[in-house]
Amino acid sequence: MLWLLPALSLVAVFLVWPVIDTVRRSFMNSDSTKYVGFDNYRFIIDNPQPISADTHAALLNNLLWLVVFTGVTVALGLTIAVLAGRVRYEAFAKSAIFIPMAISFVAAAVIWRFMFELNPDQGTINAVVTKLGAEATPWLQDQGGPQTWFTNQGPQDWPQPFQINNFALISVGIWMWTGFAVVILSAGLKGISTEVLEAARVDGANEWQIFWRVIFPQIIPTMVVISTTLVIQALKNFDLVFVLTGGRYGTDIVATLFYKQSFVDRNFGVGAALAVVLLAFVVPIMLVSIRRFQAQEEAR
Amino acid sequence: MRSRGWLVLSLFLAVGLLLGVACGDDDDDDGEATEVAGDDDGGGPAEEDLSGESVDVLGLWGAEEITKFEAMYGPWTEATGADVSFVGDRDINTTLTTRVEGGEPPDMALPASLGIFRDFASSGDLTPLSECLEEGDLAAYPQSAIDVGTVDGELYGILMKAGNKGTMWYSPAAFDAAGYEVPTTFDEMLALADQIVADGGTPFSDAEEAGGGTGFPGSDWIQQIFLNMHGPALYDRWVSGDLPYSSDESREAWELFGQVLLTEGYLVGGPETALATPFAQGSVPLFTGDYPAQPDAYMHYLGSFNAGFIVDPANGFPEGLEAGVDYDYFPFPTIGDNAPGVTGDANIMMIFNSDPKTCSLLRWLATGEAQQIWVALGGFTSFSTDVDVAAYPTDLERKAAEQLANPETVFRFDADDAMPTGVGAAVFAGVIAYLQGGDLDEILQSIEATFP
Repeated sequence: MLWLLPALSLVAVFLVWPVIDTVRRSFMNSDSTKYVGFDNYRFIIDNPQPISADTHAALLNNLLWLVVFTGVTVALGLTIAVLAGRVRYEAFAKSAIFIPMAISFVAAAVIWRFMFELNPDQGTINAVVTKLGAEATPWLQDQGGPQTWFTNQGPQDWPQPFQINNFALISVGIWMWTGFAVVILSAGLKGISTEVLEAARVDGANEWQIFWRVIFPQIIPTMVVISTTLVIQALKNFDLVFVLTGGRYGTDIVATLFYKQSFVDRNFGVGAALAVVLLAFVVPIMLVSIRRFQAQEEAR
Repeated sequence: MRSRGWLVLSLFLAVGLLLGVACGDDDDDDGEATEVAGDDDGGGPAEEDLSGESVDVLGLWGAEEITKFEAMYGPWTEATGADVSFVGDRDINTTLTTRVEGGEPPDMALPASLGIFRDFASSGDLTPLSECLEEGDLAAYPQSAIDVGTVDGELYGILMKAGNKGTMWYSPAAFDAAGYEVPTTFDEMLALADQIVADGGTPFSDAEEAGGGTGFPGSDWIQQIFLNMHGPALYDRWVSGDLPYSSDESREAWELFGQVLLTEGYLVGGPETALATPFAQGSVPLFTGDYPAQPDAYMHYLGSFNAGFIVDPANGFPEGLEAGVDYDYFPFPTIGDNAPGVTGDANIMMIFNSDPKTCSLLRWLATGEAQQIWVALGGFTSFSTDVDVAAYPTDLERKAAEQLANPETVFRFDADDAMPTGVGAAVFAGVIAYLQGGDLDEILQSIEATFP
């Protein structure tokens, strides 16, 4: 017990106390001088400032991040891991895909700001797009639905949060995290015993069947681990959105909105309430993953 | 350890070299400066021994602005032996809030936001300037500037480096080539815009991208229109929140802004391009296309600081543009019978303690003598009457300074900076939403809701 004290006191000072203080502040006014009950949570639900502090959009965008970012990253990671396992330059392919993981988020976001630049002389993507004969798109500003990629017209008012710029942001996240998924999944694939695969082949299964009936069920636990990491990443994501758009053009997520409410608009009450909401989303996922971890340990 | 010793040593050397260079510059500048302002108080900064001390200053300047600021405090470091540790951060409001909240404020800060200044003054985070200054130290400042720096009867801030935002940029060469007259009223400007469209051209250019400040040029448009449309009395009520942001007066200003930027064919590239273009590049279309016979656009509204962008080819401007010939500005057109209004901003110099080193630097930076150093280097409009108008290096800057000093002119502080904290950001977001085709009623209601 005594040996735990240093660690526990650090956790208490840097984690427990700030959490309690944040919860306390979420029931107080903008400069934390007066208790206001549930007003700040009502702010999140009623969304009285939809132009500058769109709480609904932030929650929806976070949900979109959660689903698209996690889903695509895992799917892409699995595809690449399986395919890369069958070529001779596997190590090279995997490291090429893993490299973005080594870049800091802010640096990656700055790189992609240039990539998404509207002016085709500066923006790589628009340079390619205009060379192909299409019109340049302001990727980070365009709030139209994805169908406008192809037609450059049509209904702009797809329901939130399905906006071009949200997908542009998420694609940067996917670019950064696919390498992580590939490396872990690839290790998982290596763990599948070749005897089982060979037995399946002898029994006359084709490669497609082997993948779906033999490999896939065996790496589901690995995929759950990755998904948990990615879901938490999607929820606490901040840097990419903050640097690329600053949450403007309807791309705010809960983390950026809570930061802006607290430190730009100096509205600490609403900021703290948003942080608590974010915490409320993350905690169940953490609990589930801790349970799983414990169950696995016991199974050993 | 050994390598760290070398690192420290080389750092010292580098700083020493830099200081040497800066001081070298100052000697030249001093010559000029004392020539013009010599009879006022050419004594230079007070001799005090503060060697080894360093004043921590947080501002929003970068690049060549820092060099000019170094030149400005150079004589002070020479006289006192103290140093200035300047951090320039465009996102200064956020940084400053974080540092003050964290109990680690800088010694001095120079933000451009009146809102954050008032917040800190009334929360007691700022040190009253009376603890540093003596009677008469600020005699050269106009009462309006002193009033802005006063909160609850106590002086907390000094305005310096003013920005004039009553400036409509155009190219005299392009106007001459097409035979267009410079408009003086808003109606004339709209008639000219229609004329340009009829001639097959595009009248306006606009650029709103500015990181966390994206939308500020549009906000400037609206405040400038509001001031000229409704006069200073209503402007003050609008800024304080006394006149609701969703009022008809506010709405009229937004609609006139929309008439310029949202009318089909008025804006080069349309609103989407304006939102994605960095504000420093807004005047580029004035000189591209078939310039000067028919450039891509003819008029661009941005503050007087635009002059610094136009001479910088890194922003995409052609080289060799000449002030007064290729580029110039006309005063923002008047609306109705109202007097011409000028909105503008300024850096507000404020302090967080009254240590001798902080007070000493504050006293020096507040003098006309110190400010004239930067004025002569360009890009600085001073409020102090101790600064000689002849010191401004270009006709454009002199024009901006004189426009500010003109007793006819109605000067008002930037609305989005003067409004309570949080409102300015909401106005920027509103400009973005409006240019993207958002519903004006919803936008105005949303901004109104951010007033405390």
